[in-house]
Amino acid sequence: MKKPLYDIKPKYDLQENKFYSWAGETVKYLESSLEEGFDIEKWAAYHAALPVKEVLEHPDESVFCNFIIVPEILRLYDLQFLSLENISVALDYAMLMNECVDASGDFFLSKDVCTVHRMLLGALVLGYMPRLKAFMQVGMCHCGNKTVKLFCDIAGSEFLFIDIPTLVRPYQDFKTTAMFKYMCFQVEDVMKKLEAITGKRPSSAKIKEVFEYSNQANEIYEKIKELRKHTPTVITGIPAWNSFLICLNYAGTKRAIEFLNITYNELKKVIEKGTFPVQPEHYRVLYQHIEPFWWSGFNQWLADKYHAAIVFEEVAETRSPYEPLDPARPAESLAEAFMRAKIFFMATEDQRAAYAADKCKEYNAEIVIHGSQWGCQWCHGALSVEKKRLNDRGINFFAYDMDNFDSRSFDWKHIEDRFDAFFASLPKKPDRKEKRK
Amino acid sequence: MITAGIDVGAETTKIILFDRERILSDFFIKGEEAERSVNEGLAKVIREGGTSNGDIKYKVATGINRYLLKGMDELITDVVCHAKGGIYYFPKARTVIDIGCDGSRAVRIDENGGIKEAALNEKCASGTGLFLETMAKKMLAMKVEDLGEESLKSKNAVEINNMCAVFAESDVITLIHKKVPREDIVRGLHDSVAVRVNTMIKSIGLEPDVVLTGGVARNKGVVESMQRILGTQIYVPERPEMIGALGAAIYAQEKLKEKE
Repeated sequence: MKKPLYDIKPKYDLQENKFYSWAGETVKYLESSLEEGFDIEKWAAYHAALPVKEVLEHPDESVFCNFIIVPEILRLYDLQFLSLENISVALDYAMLMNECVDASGDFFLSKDVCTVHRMLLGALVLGYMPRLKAFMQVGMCHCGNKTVKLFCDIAGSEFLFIDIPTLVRPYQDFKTTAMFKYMCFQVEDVMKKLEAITGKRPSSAKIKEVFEYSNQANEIYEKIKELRKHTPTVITGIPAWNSFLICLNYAGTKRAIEFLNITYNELKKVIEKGTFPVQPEHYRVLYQHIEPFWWSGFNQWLADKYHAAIVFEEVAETRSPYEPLDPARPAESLAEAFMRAKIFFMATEDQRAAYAADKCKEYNAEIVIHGSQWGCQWCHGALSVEKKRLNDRGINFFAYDMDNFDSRSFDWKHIEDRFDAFFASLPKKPDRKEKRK
Repeated sequence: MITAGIDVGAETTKIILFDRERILSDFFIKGEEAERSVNEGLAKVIREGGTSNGDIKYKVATGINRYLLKGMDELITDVVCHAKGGIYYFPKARTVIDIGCDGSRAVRIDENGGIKEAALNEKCASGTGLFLETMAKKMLAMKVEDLGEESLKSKNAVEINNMCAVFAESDVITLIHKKVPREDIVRGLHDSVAVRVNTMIKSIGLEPDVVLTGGVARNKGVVESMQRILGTQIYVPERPEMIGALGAAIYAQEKLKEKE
């Protein structure tokens, strides 16, 4: 670890604070509970808690990054990966989000920094987020670019950065020689830094192992996505998204394969037994951007109140379609994987609408819901343009402003009224017959 | 086929007893606890309607406090109710704007009162009845029911910050100290409400005929400001504060017909 640039001591001791206790107790409780019988909500919570617990226990072997990363690059050096999304979900389950947001207040962050990055800064200052080996920023999230380096300066951690110039699909159009060389240079540079901070250099066997685990896991993840196309769908909302988190958090490890296999087999049983999560399923939803992290029951609320199932989330698509990593050319293969990261936020509204329309067709969805995160420059834009494009294709579109990380920023009843009005404006609920895909 | 529509707002409770196409009786009360006022109101409308509790086949509640009530057949959003209530009096209505105590909402509707698009006010309270009430009582030492006539006397437009109710208070204090005539200040307040509504309407589009509902619609000054700023005629039903309850009762009728 380097010497921190600022003398900011964490308020709580890492191994004696509420978050640390929560992670340990939750994993213990859920492991025991899951042994008695599988439950998808508990399985989702387990995969929010377990990676966090492991990182909290071994911060010196862990790296933080957003979800645009190709985590296999860390696995080559036996590093644990803590995703921004994972720790955010965990802080929500532990009911610590608001405290973390408030703790960032002293830094006078500019108003356009979104709440999640404020929250993570607060988590670091409080001691809930440990001082990790490194903090990494990938891509041009301006909130991340303003805060992640600050995390490193506070924590005395290494700062790693990968710029992705090809964030608008299709990346192949932008895969010029110069750009590819730039990506390879960055990947090799990060690999050298990882080697320096870990003292490890991955062998050919290690590279082969990590890449093969990754390839196998992603095959299973694609099969899970196929199951979601079933009518009625087999899983909805946050639990569904957590299967993406499994793929991300454990990418390049055998555990990803094991956990995803369990998920896949359990979801197949849902079809066999007819225990679909949303019955009757009147509406199928494609969800854009992010759901309220502070409310893990959001998708259940949609299911109970409107019989609406979230069958697809944009955020879980950053690695799709997956292309196998090639151990014969590790840096180049990783560079290509970084370049493939699909950040639809950066697309024009027309492109986003076209993508959403294609996915609606693929997943048999008739509604697009856009949860617009306050402060996030990646979800704002002319949503009225996207709405018109989707309406023209017979797809209903609903956008609402939300703070997905601070429940105090708005009145939920007000938002609920807007959901009520939207669903009241939809044509009479369709009588949906079971459709196997 | 008697139904009851109950609108439990932030400050007032309204009930309509409805039979097929007509209103049998109604109830309005301000400032009482929700459950108690609904019980009192139902007793009154049943008595005045010449019927009994068992004759009410379907009860629908709306309003911000609807979730506090027990024994309702259905709870629905105000937007649906104001759409149906608005079109009852004005069959050609295609946009209904409701300005209540704590919120405002606009809805574009079809010829049956079905919703095409809806918008609600953002989190700020400016542009609502509560805003005007606070200004009247706290700033201007007036009764809220006198605001309308007062603003119609105004000959000069005064701009009041319309982005935040708290900042608007500060604006009004400054204007009072500058000895700006009261009628001009009141008109400025009404204009700020209309501007807020106009911003909200832009997200759904304005389609005439436009109907204004909710208690604030009784304020002729607000109606005048809205007509001027929205650039269209605004129709106001005789008892605009009752439209939510009426719409709920009409919705209840439709549900009963569906079941038949």
